[in-house]
Amino acid sequence: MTRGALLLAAVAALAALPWLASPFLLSLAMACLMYAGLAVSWSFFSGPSRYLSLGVSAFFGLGAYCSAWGLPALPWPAALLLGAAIAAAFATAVGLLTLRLSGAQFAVITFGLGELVKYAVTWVEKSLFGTVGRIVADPPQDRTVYLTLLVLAVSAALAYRAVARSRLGLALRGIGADELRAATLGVDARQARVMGFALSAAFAGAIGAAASVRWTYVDPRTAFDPFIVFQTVLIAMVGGPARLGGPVAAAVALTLLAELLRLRLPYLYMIVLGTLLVLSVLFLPDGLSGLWAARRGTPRLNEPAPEPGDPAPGRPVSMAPPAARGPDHA
Amino acid sequence: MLEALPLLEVRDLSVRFGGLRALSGVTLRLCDAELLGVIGPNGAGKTTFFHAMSGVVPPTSGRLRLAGEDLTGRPPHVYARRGVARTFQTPRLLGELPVLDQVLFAIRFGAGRRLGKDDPRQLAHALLRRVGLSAQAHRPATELPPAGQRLLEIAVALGTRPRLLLLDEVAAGLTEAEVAQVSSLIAAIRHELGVAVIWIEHAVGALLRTVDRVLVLHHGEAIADAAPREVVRNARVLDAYLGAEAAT
Repeated sequence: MTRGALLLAAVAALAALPWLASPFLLSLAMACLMYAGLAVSWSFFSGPSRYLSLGVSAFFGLGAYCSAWGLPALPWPAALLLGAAIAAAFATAVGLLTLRLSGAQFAVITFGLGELVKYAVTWVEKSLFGTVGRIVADPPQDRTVYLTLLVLAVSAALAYRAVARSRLGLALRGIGADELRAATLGVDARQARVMGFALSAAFAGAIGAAASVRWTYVDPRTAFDPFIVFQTVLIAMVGGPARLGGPVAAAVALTLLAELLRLRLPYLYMIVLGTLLVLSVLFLPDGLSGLWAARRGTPRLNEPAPEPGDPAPGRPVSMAPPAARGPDHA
Repeated sequence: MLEALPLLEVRDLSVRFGGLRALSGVTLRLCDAELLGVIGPNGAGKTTFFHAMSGVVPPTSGRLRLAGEDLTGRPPHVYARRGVARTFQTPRLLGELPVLDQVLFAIRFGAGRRLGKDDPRQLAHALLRRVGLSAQAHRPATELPPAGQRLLEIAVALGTRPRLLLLDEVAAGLTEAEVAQVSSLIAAIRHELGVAVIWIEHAVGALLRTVDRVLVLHHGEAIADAAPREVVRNARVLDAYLGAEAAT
């Protein structure tokens, strides 16, 4: 069986899970899918560009509020799309505001703006409605939420591959390697940064809109919980954002670990997470998937495979541009 | 009769960093396929001049036109796409990307319509052959020795199919043989590709033997713009630049 067929079979098996698994297992699987989607969508922007985004909780929370406010008046897909659109719009604004900032400043600002949104939502709720937090009216069934999260996680994976192979992905890699050099070679760094960031945020927003309905009660403290972004970034960095398998495998492993340890031994869980993060930052810049691939000698997904030798002699190529060197890139 | 439109027209270009005048009122015209050298002592404003001509630093005043189009104040990628390519004093490469992919990157983002119907991979290989890096095409760029990195930077800059190439001290730190190789490469680029070149060099010997014209910068001002043999006899230049070096 080819790899594609195997993947399809795996997705089909996952899609059948709601009819086979216990509610407890289904809830574990939903947590895994949620973090897989978040970590994969974080990876396709922050991985190549090296702009560490700590805005995931803000996007997730905005999405969560879209479904908390919108349901049941809005149909389910509309609530998800609204979550994606609002998160992407917010990311675009943040992206435009932070164009002059370097990587470390970007991380601090995206985290700070997330907190700002949290308190802004709290203030709006208090002054307009008198209470903070709301009950999700008539949430969809667990089965629907699970399948939605599966679709979102698979879409995030497809988007990851599409971005990695696209001009945008190459531009983001150039930005991550040397932003000024990339710009002097023709990369519109502003556009690439804002587009990549907004696309990544759209997924976090949609996932927030879908995953939060399980809580039945949404308030700013839970919707914009910084734990969500820390867990997402940890998963992506421990797994290694440069390969799709990295964040996916790490999402499953760390979510299961979290569920197993968090209730009984919460400190042990945080110690394990912290240690893993320190180890991967210090010794595994490409995460565990980087280590795995280095042993097997497989290239990164977003690295074009080298073609052996020079190209077959075809039409001779002059190094000079075509004779008419008129205005270009109109 | 109409005067032919110059490729590059720089008028009264100035750059200030706070109270420091890094570049004041530099005016310059350059034609297609012309080779201009820029010399000057340390701190003369040579690199600032390149920064201002590639969109890296916006000029405080003055105008810059490329083939008649005003590019003053535009961001770096616009300069690249319009055909201004540059190298940096310390080679700046795109991380550990393989040598060939660095050139392909430049072709993909910078060449645009100037690529025409040419195949990007063939062009990249042709450029690497031209600078003598064919054998290293699939090695990570970080593994190249310093001279190799400078040659790769030139190949990468040429990948954007420039009309104007800005070379910032590409011969610095090279052996005499390597300097000779780079000088003849620069002359060949101009003749074979018809690209106009502005070449900054701190060590002036090889430059004076290769270029058509020399612009001398001193404290951010252009104190001479003439043929090499005239420049070396210019009293102000001797005093400001060659004199300063002779004194050390």
